[in-house]
Amino acid sequence: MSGNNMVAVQETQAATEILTCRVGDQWLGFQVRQVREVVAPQTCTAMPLSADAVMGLINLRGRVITQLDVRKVVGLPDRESDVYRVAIVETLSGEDFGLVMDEVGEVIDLDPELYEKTPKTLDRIWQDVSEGVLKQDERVVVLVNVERFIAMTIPQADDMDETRVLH
Amino acid sequence: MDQELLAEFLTESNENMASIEEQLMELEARPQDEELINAIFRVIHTVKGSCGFLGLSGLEKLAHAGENLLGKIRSLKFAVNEDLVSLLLDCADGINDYLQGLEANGAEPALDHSSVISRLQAAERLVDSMAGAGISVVAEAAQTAAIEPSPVQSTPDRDQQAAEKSVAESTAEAGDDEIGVDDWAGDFAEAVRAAMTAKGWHTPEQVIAAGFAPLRDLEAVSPADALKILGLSKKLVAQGGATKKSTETETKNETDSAQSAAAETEAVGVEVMPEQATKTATRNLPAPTKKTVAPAAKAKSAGSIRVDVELLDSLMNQVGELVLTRNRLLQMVQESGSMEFMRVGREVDQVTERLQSQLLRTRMQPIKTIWGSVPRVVRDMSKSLDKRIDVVMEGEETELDRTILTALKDPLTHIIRNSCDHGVEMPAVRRAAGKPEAGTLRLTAAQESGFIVIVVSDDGGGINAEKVKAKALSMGVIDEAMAASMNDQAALQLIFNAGLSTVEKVSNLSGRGVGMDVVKTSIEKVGGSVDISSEMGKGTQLRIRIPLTLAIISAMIVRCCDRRFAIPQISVRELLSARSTSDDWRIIGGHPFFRLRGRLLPILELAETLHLAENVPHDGSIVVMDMGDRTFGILIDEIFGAEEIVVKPLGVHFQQLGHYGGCSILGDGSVIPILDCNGLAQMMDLSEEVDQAALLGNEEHALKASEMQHVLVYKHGVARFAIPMSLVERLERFSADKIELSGGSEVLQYRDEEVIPVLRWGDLIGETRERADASDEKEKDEEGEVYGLILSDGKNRMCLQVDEIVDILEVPLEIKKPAQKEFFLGTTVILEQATEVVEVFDVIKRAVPDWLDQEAEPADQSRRHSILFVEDAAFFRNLVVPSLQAMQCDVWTAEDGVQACRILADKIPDIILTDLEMPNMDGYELARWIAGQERFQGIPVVALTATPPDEKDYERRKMFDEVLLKFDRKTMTETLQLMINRSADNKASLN
Repeated sequence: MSGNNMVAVQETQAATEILTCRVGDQWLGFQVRQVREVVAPQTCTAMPLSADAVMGLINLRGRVITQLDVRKVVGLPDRESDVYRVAIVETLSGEDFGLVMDEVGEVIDLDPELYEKTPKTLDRIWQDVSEGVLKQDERVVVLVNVERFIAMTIPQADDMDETRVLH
Repeated sequence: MDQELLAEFLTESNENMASIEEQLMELEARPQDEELINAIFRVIHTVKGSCGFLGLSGLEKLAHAGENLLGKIRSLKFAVNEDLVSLLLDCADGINDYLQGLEANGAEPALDHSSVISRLQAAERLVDSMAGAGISVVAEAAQTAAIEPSPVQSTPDRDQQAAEKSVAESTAEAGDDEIGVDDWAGDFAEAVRAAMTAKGWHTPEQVIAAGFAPLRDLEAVSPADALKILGLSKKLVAQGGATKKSTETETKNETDSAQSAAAETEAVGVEVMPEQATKTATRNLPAPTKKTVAPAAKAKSAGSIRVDVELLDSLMNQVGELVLTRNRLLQMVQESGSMEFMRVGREVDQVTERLQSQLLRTRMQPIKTIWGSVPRVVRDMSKSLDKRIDVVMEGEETELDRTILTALKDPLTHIIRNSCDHGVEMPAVRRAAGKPEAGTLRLTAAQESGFIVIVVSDDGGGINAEKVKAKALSMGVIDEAMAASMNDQAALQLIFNAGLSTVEKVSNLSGRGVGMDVVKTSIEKVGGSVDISSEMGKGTQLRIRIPLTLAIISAMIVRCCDRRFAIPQISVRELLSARSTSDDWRIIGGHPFFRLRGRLLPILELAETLHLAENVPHDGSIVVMDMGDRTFGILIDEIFGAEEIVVKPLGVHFQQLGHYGGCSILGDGSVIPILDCNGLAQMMDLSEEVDQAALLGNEEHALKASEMQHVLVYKHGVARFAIPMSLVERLERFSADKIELSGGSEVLQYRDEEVIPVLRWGDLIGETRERADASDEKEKDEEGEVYGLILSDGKNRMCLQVDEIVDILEVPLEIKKPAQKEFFLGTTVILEQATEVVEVFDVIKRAVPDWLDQEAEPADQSRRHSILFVEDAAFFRNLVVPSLQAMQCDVWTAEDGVQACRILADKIPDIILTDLEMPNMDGYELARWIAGQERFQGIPVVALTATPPDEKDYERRKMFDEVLLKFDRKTMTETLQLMINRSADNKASLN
């Protein structure tokens, strides 16, 4: 599951399986069902004037996918190395997105024993997009609601007016 | 086989067969329509007849069987029922299979349609006996059913095996001359017949005597066959062998064709109890006949030649390459500064443009190409579902790129199947709900603001959003929280999620194969979108939106700060090289401008606009954009060239960004953003002063609304002359020796084909020969070559020899001082110098005195005719204006309705020609305004449009005297000429 290889994730896996990813010091969990695959860095075309979180567009076997930098979304400093992983997630709207993570971990079972509501101590951003956490021995995995996470990165009309100010 | 003959046969047959399906279904509705039967009969008859010529024995047999049946139906005026129509449709399908195979391989495909053939033959006999005995099909069925109550059953697998076995056997025993059983039971498998013969049962009477049980016990005879043989025997005995003779002939025909047991089940099924048996057969045996069923009725455009699609695609690629090369060439030409190169380059440019746009049109096909099979699909579906569904189709002529069409075919079929299956309710349910028993499936296609919108709607039960939600929840597609926050509209879209179906048990019709998720993906793959809406009890509607622009567009690939961008070629007017050393740069109000042919072009610095860099040097290239209402330049670092790209939609993150129109994938696999130049233009944010400054610098801009013309400026001595380009065919440079003396006048051998008269400008303006000679000498001394303007109206040519070419320009021909002399219109100012404008017609009249007389009267009169041409796109202006000028009309151009009104304030043209879609004031508004002004009464207002009218437009377009297509230059000039002549006549009659 680790290493530089592309990790194809079976779509048929049960809804209770969680793919863990790391961004900065935080571990995140995504429902395996929503993750199409995990790929290595692809040639990314930046899109000037787009929202901060948008890293650019990648060509995944002929499909153009918007790549979002999770670090930017949660307000972490820029990644120093160019080693990262992209989890391709699907959403209800039918559009797929590439979520850029520092590291992709393993697939774990959603163990009810470990499940807890999102602690108030976690960063504000996680309160908004998580559906609880899994408390493991050495780490807390935030269960991310992909829909809400993506929605957060979409610029609203008012935001855009600022970028429109030119000259 | 004669391939040429075959091709002709295929074209003809495909055309004929395309309509037969429709006709058959019409026949079902109007069984007594003799005309219809005749038409159908003729088609099949023609196919059969041609087969003999071409030696297509398999197809001939099938067509022959169909023809015989139709012949019987026709001669006996037999009212067909739906089973017969089904059978005839199968026959048509079979014929189409053959045609397809022939088309693909050039040789007759080896197909086994013996089951259809024998069913056709059986049906023919049935029709014969029924009509002869005066018994209706239904009555007979009831009667037979009373005698033999046991149901007819068969299993496809065993029949299939039996069929294969019997094929082998019948081949082995071909030529078998045995008589007896074969005479009357020829439809049954060889093995069956052999077994019967072995038992000594040669006649129907003997079979009846033997009884059912022994017959069934024969190894080769299935119980079903036994039943059928018995039934047949009884009938034959009852008819007293009346049909024996005809049966005999048919049997002879058949002995070499493979007989299949499966077919027999159906064949005799038709014979014994038509209603029930065929239905059973269709339900139980969808495989044997359907397996090879071709996609029905391919709509082929009539009166055209057939071109291999691959060839078209490869042509398309070649033209793409050509466009690329053309752009490189134009750049080089621009740099070379040579007039001659420029002229050639311009021509190459125009030809390429036309070639490309026309080739794109060859890829457009009306949507009926894929809708053609819909009535059939729905008919088959409704039959097997015992529902009644009518199909209504609107906008069948809407054209789409064939790539999109191909991609749409499967999703559309699936949607339709889904509507029939899940949407429309059973007749009883509909009746109870107070709806008509027959459901309606409506397909519409229309153009809507740059998109093609296809709507498939049914008036069925609708989809229960709550049910969808519950299902999605149970399948784990959504969770409780999501379900709670979801409105009905959003819930309905879940249908497109993999593995959702609202009907509990999976139906074998639309549940099979692709699901709605595949429908969605395939539509999105071609850049479209699909959504669903539904109202409980009222029906369901699926809306597919496909962008028109999907088709491959041509775009300039440019570099700016090491990033690549694509700029749609459609609004690119020209490309300029703009070095920082150029003295054409101006900074006004802090904004950069570039002086281009006396005008100040506002410049958008892409790097700064997109925040890629600041204080960029004014160095690189400028892409001049013509956005209709404004012209501006985009400063970029480098132009790579033009490429044909496929526009892909951008995701939700870019919906708010006006400056992107989509993205594309380049040859190297990288993604490239496509700039939306309308969006960019809006970002330019030029303050009012800057606009003022731009306008001040653009003195000519204000005049542009009046009379822009391409003129060629040449020098003679120190004087400058301008000649309108409309009649200048080419610019030649040739050796002065080439001008020869013939019959007292000078001529030139033009392009080895023609001898054309030559006039020397010096002679015309009354210069003495000595001086002219001297100047000739001077020319010869330098290069020995002179310039000649070849003037032509398409029929006649002449050469005007001039001294020195200055430039070709687009200028407003404002005559400042009308001329008093022959050969001159007057004086104008071009490039800040007084220039005399040449009256081309005077020159031509001098060279070819009867030239204009040949043209018929109007040509001369029409010189004073004028056309106001309103069009926002410079491309079309450039395309159309020369045609209008060639009609010897004065052309006033305006870029929108507002400008047009301004011109109309003090001028009255003979014809007003206007585009429909324009900024500020569009063609409709303009036409309405004109209609309200009394002084324009009787002046034709003609609309010029790129799009054929859709339904919505139809009414609105009535306010125009004529609606013409932009690309159809011939019709346009002809129509306008007619109008001009008419108005000339009117004027004459008034006088």
